[in-house]
Amino acid sequence: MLSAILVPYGIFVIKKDESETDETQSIENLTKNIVYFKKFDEEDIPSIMYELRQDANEKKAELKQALIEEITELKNKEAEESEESEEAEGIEPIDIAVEELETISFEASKIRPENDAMRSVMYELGLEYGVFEDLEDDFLNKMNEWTVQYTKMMMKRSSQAKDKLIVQTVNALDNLDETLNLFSERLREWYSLYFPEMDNIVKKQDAYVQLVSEYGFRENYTRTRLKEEMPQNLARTLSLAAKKSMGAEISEVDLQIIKSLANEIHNLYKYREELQAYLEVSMTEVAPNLTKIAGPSIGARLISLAGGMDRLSILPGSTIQVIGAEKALFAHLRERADSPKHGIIFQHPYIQGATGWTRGKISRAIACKMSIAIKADMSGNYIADTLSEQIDKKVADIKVKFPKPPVKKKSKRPQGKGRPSRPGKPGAGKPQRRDGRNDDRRRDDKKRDGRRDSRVDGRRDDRDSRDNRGKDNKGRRDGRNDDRRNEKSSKPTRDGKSRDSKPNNANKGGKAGKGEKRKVERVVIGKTSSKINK
Amino acid sequence: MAKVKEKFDNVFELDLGDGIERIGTKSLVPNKRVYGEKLVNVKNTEYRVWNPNKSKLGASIINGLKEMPIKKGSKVLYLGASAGTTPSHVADIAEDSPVYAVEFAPRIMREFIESCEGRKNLFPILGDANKPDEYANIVEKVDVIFEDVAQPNQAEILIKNAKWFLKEGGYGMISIKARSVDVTENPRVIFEAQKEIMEQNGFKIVDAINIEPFEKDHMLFVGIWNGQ
Ligand SMILES: C[S@@+](CC[C@H](N)C(=O)[O-])C[C@H]1O[C@@H](n2cnc3c(N)ncnc32)[C@H](O)[C@@H]1O
Repeated sequence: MLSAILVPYGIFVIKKDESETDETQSIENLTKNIVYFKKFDEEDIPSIMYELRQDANEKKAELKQALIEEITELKNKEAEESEESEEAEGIEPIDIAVEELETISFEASKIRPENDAMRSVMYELGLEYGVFEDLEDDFLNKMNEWTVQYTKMMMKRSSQAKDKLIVQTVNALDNLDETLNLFSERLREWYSLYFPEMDNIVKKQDAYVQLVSEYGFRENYTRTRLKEEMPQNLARTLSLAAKKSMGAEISEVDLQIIKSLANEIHNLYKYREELQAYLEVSMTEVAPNLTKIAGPSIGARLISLAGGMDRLSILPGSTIQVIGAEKALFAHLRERADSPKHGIIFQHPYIQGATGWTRGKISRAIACKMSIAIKADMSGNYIADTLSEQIDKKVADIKVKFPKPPVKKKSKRPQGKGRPSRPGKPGAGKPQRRDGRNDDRRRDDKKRDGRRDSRVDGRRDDRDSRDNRGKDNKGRRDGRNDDRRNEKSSKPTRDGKSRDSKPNNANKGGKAGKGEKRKVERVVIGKTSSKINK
Repeated sequence: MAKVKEKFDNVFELDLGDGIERIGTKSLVPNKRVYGEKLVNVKNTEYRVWNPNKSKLGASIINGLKEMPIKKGSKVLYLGASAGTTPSHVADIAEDSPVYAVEFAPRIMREFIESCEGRKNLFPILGDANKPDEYANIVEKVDVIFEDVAQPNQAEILIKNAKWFLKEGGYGMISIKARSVDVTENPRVIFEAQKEIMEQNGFKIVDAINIEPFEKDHMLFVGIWNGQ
């Protein structure tokens, strides 16, 4: 009876006598019974360990086949040689009949007596068979290297499967935001028939939704009850508005169906939170380095936009810096994310918080570290702490080195394109917009303006633009084109942007660039158009 | 001047002259910290101070462990390696003998691998201690199994692994966290029950250490395996 026993460095083939019972399978018997030893190529050892973990049966079948072929070939050679010379020097014949080979049992790791005995001498045999030079240095060094390699492969594998899940999660979040906006808007319009004043008072979407689902009838908006959930003055305003509302009266049935919608939306908001939390956990697991440096949202979006971790890991920092410039446009059109400037890493708090003239430098530095981080994630190293230290240092260096904006040559651009961050400068702000400049310029200004307003009513534009999508709008849907254009206006816009926008809140920012439409809209819809989504 | 006394094989009492009772192990990889521990140099030997607040084995030694089963030259199977705090000290003690360290959370494994690189007798294995067959063709028979997995079935896990990997007469060491077995039950009852499971399944318990105040409701049991 033949059995094969796997050890990390090879396979032992054991021939057991019929007479030997399990009880007599002592260590001495075991070593005596070894009829063949196949040593693995040392380079292959980690991947063999790894494949055995992935699909043990398949790998064993493969190893068994290779073993049978190897022994058969050797037997054939043996036969040839013994015909030529009676005694093949130094080579002991293999004590295996070729017919026996097929029956070889290959259960690597069940508790079988011979396997158990093998575990007592597993590495001593390695020494005996010349795999290790000694059982201290050489054995330890080799095993350490093999197990480290193998474990890294295992981790890489667990990441690879998971980065697909992350991509899906990011996509689901995007869809969800789109849906949430759509339904929240519907709810606002619908409920405004009954309680129009609230639209202006409660600007935050999820708060609005929750109020409708919990309160419903205007009579319920009492100050005492509201006070529990919101600041005093807001509670006061809202309860007063409820009392004096100019909205139409509706029946219980009418209200009920509106409340149901609010409930559904509320649940979706809860699900969104769950998704976001899941994304964070998964990201830390799959790409701990990238997550530490980029944060879960930006990290996940980078993976998603690059099309997976492996793709992302081969990109240089300079590419990572601009990833998402095109796609972000669609996200921006769809879900009111910040308009694309230089790819999504610009949502990084360090870059957001930087002064305009250091932004480029800082984002280059960070993108470069992100590229190192994702490579480390792929190879299973954990270097995030070192990396983030380096980033902190680098950012501090840049800030010290460039404390002031560079002295610029007088801008050739028309007045009004200057930095809006310097308040009071002529050319920034609303009045300028109306002064009848050429089209192009106006759009830029609008964009900036729109950004501020976007928190207010971007969504209406969204819907609006869908209805009135003209030539101009179509052009804007072309990522590349738009990207370039944004680039031009990027500085003022970025500067004008609020600093606190966290990456995952980005979608709450407004869609910019539709100033023209908005103005029309504002006239038509009036007050309902200015709600703050913040 | 710091004074050093060998308390157990390769486990040292470090007296830094401030009256605080400290233990430590000789650094296998000089100048490398694993978990922010203090490094002390005495007579050209570097010791890593073993922080009992971060290592239950360290705490047990300070709290009066009678005998230390892990010695220079012991082969060890370590279940629940986490980021490598205790395993690194265990590897220091075993010195030129292998420590097979199993951990099943990939995220933590990543950090653990850091500690393994360069620490040549520490072998990381990503696997589930509930499924010894996942690593049965890698791990040999060992002298000591140390388990710290904080799972409800930790006693069973020890027994299962002992059947596969523990030499007859070898030691099983297990850190039991009452709360991870049952949050509602009185810790004492839990400890008694876990002890009984081990005794009925081939372990003779020879030492039990309460590791308060370092950890609340934690016990370390040491048992001798009589094979089964
Ligand atoms: C309390 S921590 C161990 C701390 C470590 N012994 C030390 O002192 O440095 C428990 C660890 O066991 C791991 N663990 C839990 N269940 C496990 C299992 N079934 N197999 C392997 N590891 C497990 C957890 O991921 C966690 O890292």
